[in-house]
Amino acid sequence: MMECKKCNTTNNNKANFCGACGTKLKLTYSIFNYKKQINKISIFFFTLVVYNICISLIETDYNYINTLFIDLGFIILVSIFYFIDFKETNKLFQFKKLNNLILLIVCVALPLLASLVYYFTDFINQYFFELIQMSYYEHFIYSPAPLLLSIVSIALMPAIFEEIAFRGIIFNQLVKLTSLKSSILISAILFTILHFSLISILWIFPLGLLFGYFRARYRTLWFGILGHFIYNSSVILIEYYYLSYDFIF
Amino acid sequence: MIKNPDSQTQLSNKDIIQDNSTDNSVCHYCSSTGLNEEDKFCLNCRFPQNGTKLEKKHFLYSLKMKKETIVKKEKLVKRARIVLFVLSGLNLLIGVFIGLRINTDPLLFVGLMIGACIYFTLGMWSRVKPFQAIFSAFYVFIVFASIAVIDDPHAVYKGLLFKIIIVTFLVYGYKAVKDLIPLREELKTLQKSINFKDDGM
Repeated sequence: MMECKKCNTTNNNKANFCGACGTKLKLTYSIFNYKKQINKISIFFFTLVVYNICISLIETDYNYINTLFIDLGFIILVSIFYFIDFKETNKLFQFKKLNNLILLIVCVALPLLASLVYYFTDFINQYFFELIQMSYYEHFIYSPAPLLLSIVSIALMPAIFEEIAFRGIIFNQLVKLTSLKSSILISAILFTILHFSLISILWIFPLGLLFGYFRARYRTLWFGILGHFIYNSSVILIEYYYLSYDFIF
Repeated sequence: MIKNPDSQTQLSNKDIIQDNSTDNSVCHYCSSTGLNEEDKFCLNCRFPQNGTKLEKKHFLYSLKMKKETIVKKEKLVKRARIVLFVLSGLNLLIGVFIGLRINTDPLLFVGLMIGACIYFTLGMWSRVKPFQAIFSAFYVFIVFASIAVIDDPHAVYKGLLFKIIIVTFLVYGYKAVKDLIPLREELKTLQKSINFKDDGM
């Protein structure tokens, strides 16, 4: 039995409205303010887009100091949003036991994919676009510790902060808006397009899906961070190997 | 005309308002049964069974407005979907045009073709998951426009009106999908007939 708060009439349990005065007793639809989540995603994502546009428009030499400053800017921006959403995002830093499948993907499949992507881009750049393969490692050649700094700047920092940004902050809001599967897809799309490279969609999108799956399945960012780090460091190590080889011979 | 969900017949608003049947235990609108004869409103849909003609008219009018809102929102979603196919077509056309020219930049051609594929995929996806597809398309469009600005900073002003129109359609599109959910849910609840006898008052 349900009592109407307005006229105190007793109504049937299944009633949506009071039979005497017509007052709503139950919600006949779900109330959900989606605008809050959309605003959070939009503000964060567009901040990153504007930052990327700014650093792309500023004409500068891509030496190791500038690259580290660019990284620092990204870290600061992500950290600000991380602390705004600290409670929710911090939950994703719990450690989970690594299983064999993840180990296999992270330690074997991702380095293999990185090599494949490296040779594929080298091939299409040379034969289709007549471009020289862009080298991330080259930016650090004149730094005091080229390999260490390049791994920190290109593998470690993006692995941590891109995972916090896309699988942490953005994913947390997306889950409130849509299903888990759709959140994986949308976060992968946003992760891909923010790299500002149309060709790299071919491998960044599947990677985004994989890291999104790790986040959704295990509710931790660590597997994504590990995978992201291994993938990016594999690219750096391949570049390091070829540049060292060039220097020797 | 409002469809009576239980019987497959169509009851006109006039029929519902002028229904002078003495059996007030059955709702004249949603056909819910087991209502109290003395209750003024239906417990399920709030139809004023024992109300005045004007009250009944008000009820039917508010339902009609809700249905019209649903139609309007559905049109907005459809428009956003069309925008995605238009963007795909434009990318494809410009890509083919650029591709046919001599000494063209292959990177631009490939980029436009990828863009066409992405918009087409999102357009198709919007048939199944409209919110997810239109919401993603909104960000994709903004980023693609940003890439053009990086390449040529003056591109920010080029086709500004077109860009604003596209963004507006996409934003209204994904908002409409989200607004449609509670509206459809409410109408579904109101039109579903319930037997109130089972529970026993």
